[in-house]
Amino acid sequence: MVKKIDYTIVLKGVAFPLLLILVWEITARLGYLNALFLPAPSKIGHAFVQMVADGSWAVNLLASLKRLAYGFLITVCLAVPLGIVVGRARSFQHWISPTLSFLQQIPPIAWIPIFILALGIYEAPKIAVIIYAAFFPVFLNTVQGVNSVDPKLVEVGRAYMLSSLRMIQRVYIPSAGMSIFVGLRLGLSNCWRALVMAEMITRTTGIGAQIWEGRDLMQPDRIFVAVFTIGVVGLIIDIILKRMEHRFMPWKKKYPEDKR
Amino acid sequence: MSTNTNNSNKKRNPENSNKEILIQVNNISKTFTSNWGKVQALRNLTFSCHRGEFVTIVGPSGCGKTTLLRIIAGLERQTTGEVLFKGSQVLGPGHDRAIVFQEPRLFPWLTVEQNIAFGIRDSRSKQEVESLTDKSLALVGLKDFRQAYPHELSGGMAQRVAIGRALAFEPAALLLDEPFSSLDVSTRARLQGALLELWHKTGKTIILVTHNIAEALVLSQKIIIMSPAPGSVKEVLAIDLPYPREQNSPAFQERKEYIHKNIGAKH
Repeated sequence: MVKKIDYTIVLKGVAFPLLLILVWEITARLGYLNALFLPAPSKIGHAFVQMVADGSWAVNLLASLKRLAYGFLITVCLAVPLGIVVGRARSFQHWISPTLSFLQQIPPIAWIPIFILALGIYEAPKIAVIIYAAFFPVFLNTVQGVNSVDPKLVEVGRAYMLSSLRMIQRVYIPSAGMSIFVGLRLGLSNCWRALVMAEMITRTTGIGAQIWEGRDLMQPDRIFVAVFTIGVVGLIIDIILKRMEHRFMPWKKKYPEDKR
Repeated sequence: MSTNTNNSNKKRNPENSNKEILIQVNNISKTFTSNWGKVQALRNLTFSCHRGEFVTIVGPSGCGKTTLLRIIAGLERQTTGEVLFKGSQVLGPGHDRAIVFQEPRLFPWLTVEQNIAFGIRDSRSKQEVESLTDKSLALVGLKDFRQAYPHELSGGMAQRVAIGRALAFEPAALLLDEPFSSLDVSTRARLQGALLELWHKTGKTIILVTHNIAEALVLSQKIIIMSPAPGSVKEVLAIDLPYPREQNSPAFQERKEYIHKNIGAKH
């Protein structure tokens, strides 16, 4: 049930950035832009080819993606089951929801110094930041999804004598599926952003570290390559998740947000 | 008890079928406690239902008929009194009863056949689930729609899936809570016919709640007339007209008039 791709829409979506790049290139060549912080697209392209050739691009990207995968996986394993449990225990929500709202106000980056003090500068603090960044959207959306399960469907489960575990499996999880998925999508994009910040501060490997390295070495073209890589990877992740949503939930009709 | 499958052709005579009492409702009362105080919904209801019998409970809205059915289903507890099913007390939902609600209550993420298998998929073997699902699909006439999702179905079809889900559960008794009330007149008539046919074929015990007197007369062998506030049994009426019932016949009209007068509601 994959939607048909409307190529005219894709074309429009691609044409606009190409146009921007063209204008940028022309103004750069005419000497209107300061090459120190706005190098010409052709120069950025050249830097990209170089970075691919010397392997630094792939090494850093892979380092970032690996962290993303670990951190996100851990978050899902923590936040989804916890969300289901908390979502079913309504009275418990009164206890914890003010605390959660408080924690939610703190951006993950604010915790990075503490994580570094506690966990060092290598993998652990970065993964901790990712977990923190993704936990709230995944957890809160799961809770909300479980909360909004239609009690009439739960009653059907009761009438057909489902055990509590089966009730979770057959009624709660699929009912909350949409909401959980929204949480996963938000969580993953939060992860990606937070990871880049963490890498910029800890400066070991990864795309974020590469950006900072570009600053240290006064190589704005390399900075741009890294920045654009972040954007493109984020975009690809989002597209994949949207596709998965349609794959796993064919009973859902198209959403208004899919209209462009 | 032996089942009469040997003479299971269209006209099933209730006098011939065994008179075993399947469901016995004994002096049931139900009081709801709300913020505004206590409200008595049901008072001292007593009636019984034989195996294979088609019983309808009619009464004006708000007389507690749905509450009564939910108590029989085990989804709600009575305040006093008891419900006996095959002689033992009903303490909760059971494998011997299946309820069909006013709305289909299908699971939107399951196909028609998965919805029908909902009640049995975890307790039966794969082959059993398959054969029971096929049987149910045939009984409710939805074989061609087994792969469809609920949002692709009309209201009447969706309610048929709900009935199929109940049948696949293989209950001794089918409890129906105004299952046709949200359907248009012609769909409703069609489903009534389908329900009668299904009853003749399977010999299930059926208790149907409705506020539609004509529906009760078309379908059932026994009508329990309830009076409201608090709900109690006003009269138990045996309907001995042969099936299929002719709505224009004097005998039908006469009984309809009688119930109308008795219930004090107009329809």
